[in-house]
Amino acid sequence: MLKLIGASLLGFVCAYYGFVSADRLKKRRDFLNEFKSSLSVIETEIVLGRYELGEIFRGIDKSQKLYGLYGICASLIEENGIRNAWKLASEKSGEQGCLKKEDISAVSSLGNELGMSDIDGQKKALKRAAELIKPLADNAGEEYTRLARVYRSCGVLAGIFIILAVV
Amino acid sequence: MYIAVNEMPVKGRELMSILPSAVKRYTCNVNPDEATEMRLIVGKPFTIRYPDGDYYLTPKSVLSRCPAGAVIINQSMMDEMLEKITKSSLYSVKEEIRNGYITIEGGHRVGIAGTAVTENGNVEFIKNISAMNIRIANELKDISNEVIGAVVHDGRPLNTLVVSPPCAGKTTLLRDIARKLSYKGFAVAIADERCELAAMYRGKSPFDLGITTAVMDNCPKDKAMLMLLRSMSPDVIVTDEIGTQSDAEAIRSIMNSGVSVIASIHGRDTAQLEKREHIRELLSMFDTVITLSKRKGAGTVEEIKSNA
Repeated sequence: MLKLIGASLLGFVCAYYGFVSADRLKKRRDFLNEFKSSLSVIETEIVLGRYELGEIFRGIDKSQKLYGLYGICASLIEENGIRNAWKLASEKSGEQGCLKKEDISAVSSLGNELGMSDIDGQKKALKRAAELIKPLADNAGEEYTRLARVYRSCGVLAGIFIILAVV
Repeated sequence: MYIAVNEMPVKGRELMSILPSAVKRYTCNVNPDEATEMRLIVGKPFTIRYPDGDYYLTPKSVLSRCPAGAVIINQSMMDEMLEKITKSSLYSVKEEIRNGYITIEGGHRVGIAGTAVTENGNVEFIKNISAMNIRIANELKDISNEVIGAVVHDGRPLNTLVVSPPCAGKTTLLRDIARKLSYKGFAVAIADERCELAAMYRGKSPFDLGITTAVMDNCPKDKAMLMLLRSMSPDVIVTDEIGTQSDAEAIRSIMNSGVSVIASIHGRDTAQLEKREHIRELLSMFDTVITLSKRKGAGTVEEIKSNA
């Protein structure tokens, strides 16, 4: 009986790991897609509204898919300046969003150009960031389609295999 | 009338937060509530102006009358300050920078100087900002008591012009007149082109402007006055620093519509203003002209002249 319980636990852990791995791919895909679309919102707010970055960020921090990227940045801007605030926010939310190193570095690079130039400069910076993010987002989407089901299936199968092997 | 500048109800500690961190760290013993200006110039000591003169901040966190050994401003401090006052959003204040100042929270005005970037003779931007002057906003209630009798007559506000040299209290006086008229039940509209009179920040004024006062800010005052006339059906329109031909034309239209105008203009006195032709015409349009000076301190009323 004890053996069965142990095997079930191990099987459950394997299946769970498979699902977590698939979920990490989903989080990354959603983060990058959400970030990509948020750039056009920022551009609209800057070009048409001339709103300050803090205000804009607080307004678009509704989505949980970005793990508070904009909210964290907005809360840090006044004390740290945009460059540092954006870096800290993108690292923190990037980790939670299961981003790879190159994703975080692409998201983080926007902070170097955001804020301290005129409207044209801001438009160019946002366009550059969107261009940088697009292949990463495409890759994340492709990885999710290709690997999510594999991870889930492998997890479940490995779990079943362990249970059968032990029992 | 003497407007005591040390009566200003300013939350000075908040003002200190816009200073560069390398300056702010030495300000723990500084009481900015009594200051009128703070100056930052690259390569020069950080200066705070009080009613009795200039003081320099030292690394021992004390204010000294002597500039030697004071905290010296450098370019990176200036850049940090620019980022703080623009809240890391330089693009949002481009128009204000072109005019040479930025209004910050609390109604304080940061004047800036540097290298102007011009295009077709117009200033497009100011780069290499090398000097900033923070003019600390004043709200002094009831300072218009001495003149309000000349502004309101037979239950209606008169067309009134306040003539004053810079820093002699004309904006502070106008603001108090607007407040008083609003509390008297007049519908007041303020055309605040330079964001100084109402000092709106995110749609709110830090000053008590009364209960029926509408503000149109950051808009050329001739256009703002006409827009307010059409949209807010005011009894009186208040505006600061008039002087151009288009201002005169807008004011004439407003007066012809039966709405009063209370405005200010830079000048030593009416005699000096009358030397300029289009200003002479402007002067004749007002029922009351109040002249201010700094003779006994900012806000000294030199003359109240009635043309009515």
